[in-house]
Amino acid sequence: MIDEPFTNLDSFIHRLDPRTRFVVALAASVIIAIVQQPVIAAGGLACGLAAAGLARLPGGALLKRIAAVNFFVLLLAVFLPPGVPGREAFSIGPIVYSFEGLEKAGLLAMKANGIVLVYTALVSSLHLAELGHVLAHFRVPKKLILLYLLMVRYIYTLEEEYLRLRKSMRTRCFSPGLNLHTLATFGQVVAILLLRGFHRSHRVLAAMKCRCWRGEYWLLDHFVFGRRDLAFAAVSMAMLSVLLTGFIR
Amino acid sequence: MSETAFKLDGVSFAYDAARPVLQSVDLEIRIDQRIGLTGTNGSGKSTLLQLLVGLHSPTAGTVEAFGEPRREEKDFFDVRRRAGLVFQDPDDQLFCPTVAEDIAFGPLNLRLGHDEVHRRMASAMEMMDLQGYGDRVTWKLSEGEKRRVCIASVLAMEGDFLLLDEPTGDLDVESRDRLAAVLEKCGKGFLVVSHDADFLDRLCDRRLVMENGTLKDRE
Repeated sequence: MIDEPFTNLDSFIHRLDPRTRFVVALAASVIIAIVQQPVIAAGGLACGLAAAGLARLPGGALLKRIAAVNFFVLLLAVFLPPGVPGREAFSIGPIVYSFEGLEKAGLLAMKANGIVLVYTALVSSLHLAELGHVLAHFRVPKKLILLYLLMVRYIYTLEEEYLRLRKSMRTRCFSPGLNLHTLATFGQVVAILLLRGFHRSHRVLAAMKCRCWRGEYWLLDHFVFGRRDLAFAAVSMAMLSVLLTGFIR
Repeated sequence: MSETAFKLDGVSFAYDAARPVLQSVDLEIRIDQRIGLTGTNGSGKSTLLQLLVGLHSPTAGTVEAFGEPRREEKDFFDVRRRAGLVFQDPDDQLFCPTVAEDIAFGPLNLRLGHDEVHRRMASAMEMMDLQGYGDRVTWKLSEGEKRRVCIASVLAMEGDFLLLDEPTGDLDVESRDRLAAVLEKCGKGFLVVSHDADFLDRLCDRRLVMENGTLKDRE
C-alpha cells in the first residue's frame, strides 16, 4: 500500500542528515512556489533535477511519480490558457488560447515539477519512520508523532487483513459486480476492518503498557549533523538565495 | 524458599457477565518456577496472563504480585517492569518502525541511559539471533521473525519473570529450539501458554490445565 521506492539507495543525498534534507526541501518548495518569472521557475526546475541526479533516483519510479503530477499539469495546460486574456496564440473552434495563458501554464508546470523533484529527492528518499523522527526533532508534539508512526505501522496490517478477507471472499466464489450483493459485501468488509482496527488498537495499547509506556515516546538515536550537511545546506541556500533575489528584482 | 511472583486468590473474570472466563482461580507462582499452561481455545489462558499484569481487573478475588497486593493501574507499573508479557499476535506488540527501536522501546520507557539501552538491545538481539536486523522495518518481517523480535523486546526489559502467550506459534523448528535454549539458560521463571507439548515437556517443571475457567495441575 505504501511503496518506498526511493529509500534504501546509496547516494550523496541518502547519506545526509534527514533534518538537513527536510529543511532544504521545505525552503526550496516555498521559494519555487512563490516565484513568478519563467526563467527563475526554470532555475527551480533545474535545482529539482540536480537534487534528483544527486539522489540517484531510479528512473522508472521517478517517471511514474512525475507522470502522476503531470496529469494534473496537463489538465491545467488544457483548461487554464483559454481563461487568461491576452494575445491569441491559436484557437480550437471557439476556444482561444492566449500567449499569456500558455506562459502561465508553462510556469505552473515548471514550478510543480520542480517542487515534486525536490521533495522526491530529499524527502521521499527518507523512510516514513525517519520522517517521524525529523518531525520530532522539530518539536512537533510527541503525541502527533506517535499517531503518525502508529498510522504508518498499521496501514500495512490493515492491508494484510483486507487482502486476507479478499482471499477468503474469492475462495467462496465471490466476484464483484455492479449489484447490491457486491455493495453489501464491501460494506461488510469495511465494517470488519474498522472493528478489527478498533480491537487491535486496544491490544496495541495493552502491549505498550506492558513495556512500561506512560505516554512519552523516546527516540533511540539522534541524527548527526556533519560537514557534508553543512556544505550541502550552504550550497542549497546560496542557490535558493539566487532564485529569491531574481524573484524580488 | 524463593519469592512469590504472583498469587491469585479466588479470582474471577468475565468480559460479559453471562459468560465467565475465569471462575474463582487460586494460583501461586514462585519467581523461579517454570510453568506450562494448556487448555482448549477460548478457555481463558491469555486472559489469565493479561490479568497478571493488570490489563484486566478481576470481577472478584485479589491479585498479588511480587509480594504486594495490586489493585489499580499505577500498582502494575512495577509488575510490568519485572514481568514481561509476550503477546499472542506479534502485530499487536511490534509497533515501532524498526526492529532496534521496538526492542529499545521498553528500556527507553524505563529511562535507562543510552549505553545501557544499546547493551540490552544488543544482548536481546543476540539471544534471539537477530544480529543485523536492527534497521529492518518491523511490519515487513516474516511472522517467525516478528515473533523473535517480540521475544527479544521483552528480554530487553531484563525483568525477573516471563509470561509467554503461545511463543512458538509462528516459529520453525530451529527457532523454536533456540527459544527453548534461551528460556533454559535465562535463569528466570516463566509461565508459558502453549499447545506444543514437546516444548512444554522440555522446559517446564509444573504443568497447568485450564478447563471451564478453572485451573488444575496436570497429573
